[in-house]
Amino acid sequence: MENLEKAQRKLLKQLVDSESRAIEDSFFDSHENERQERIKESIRTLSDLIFKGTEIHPALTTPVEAKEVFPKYDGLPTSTIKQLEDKHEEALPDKAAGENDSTEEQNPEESE
Amino acid sequence: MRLSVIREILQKAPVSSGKLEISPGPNAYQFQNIIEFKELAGYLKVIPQFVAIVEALEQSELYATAQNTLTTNNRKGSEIAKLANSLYTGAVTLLAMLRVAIPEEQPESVAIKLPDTNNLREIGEILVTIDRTLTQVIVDPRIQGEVRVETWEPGTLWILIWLKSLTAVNLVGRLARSAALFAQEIARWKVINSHVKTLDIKTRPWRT
Repeated sequence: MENLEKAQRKLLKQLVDSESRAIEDSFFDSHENERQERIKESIRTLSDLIFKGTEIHPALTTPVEAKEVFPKYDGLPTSTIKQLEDKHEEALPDKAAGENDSTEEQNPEESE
Repeated sequence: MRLSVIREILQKAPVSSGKLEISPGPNAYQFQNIIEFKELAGYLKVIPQFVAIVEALEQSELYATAQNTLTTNNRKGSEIAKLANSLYTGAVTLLAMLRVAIPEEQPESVAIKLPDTNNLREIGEILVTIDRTLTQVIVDPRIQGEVRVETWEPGTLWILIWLKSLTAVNLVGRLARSAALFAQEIARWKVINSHVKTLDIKTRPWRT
């Protein structure tokens, strides 16, 4: 479990690093550590706000090319997020089991 | 759904040509202009306030014909007429109200939906967080951004924030996209962690 959490932290850190660097490269001529840190902090904070149900959309009059950059919130697993945020942790193994029925069935056999 | 989005749908909908012509007679109702009315109803169906009316119309005789005219008995006819009139009047009235109540959006703005909560302090803290999160990135000579309230949508938790430049809008869009991706990954990992914990609990008796 500890190894899993360590790997998870590493992957999430890599994701924020690469996303923030890509954003910085797209909008600024040069790289600055402090700026990248601000972008990283913004990504993490916005992600926390999205967890809570915040959505950011372009204005209706914004040009199409700018509109396309924004995420589609329909695809986000908000119901799962809400359950997690509300700490209904009992409900999650059931959901996970429902999605991964085959894994659930195979593992006890493997352990035997 | 944002009121601005509803207004945009209503502005695009063929309201002027889509009125169902209703002629009540002594023994029957006659309807004309059905095809254009159905086209209008198709536009209005995505607006939450009209979903029930359009669905009721879809169950009626009006949708059982592909013709542009229909004659039906008084009972069914009056029901269709009532639904069609309330749909049409509702659309016209709502559009007139939204044209007055909702100002046109600036292209350099973003619309932010705050979480559904009645906790005033939480809303206040979220607004402060949004201001700080956007300001620290877009207030830069190359981005030329600012963070200002353009308007609140009446009766909703939607706020329109003016960012001054399209570059700032683009940058905020990119941040939101990365944040959504990050949120998705965290959600996925939380599910995996819970699943692993459950497996650990299930297999513990066998190991001890």
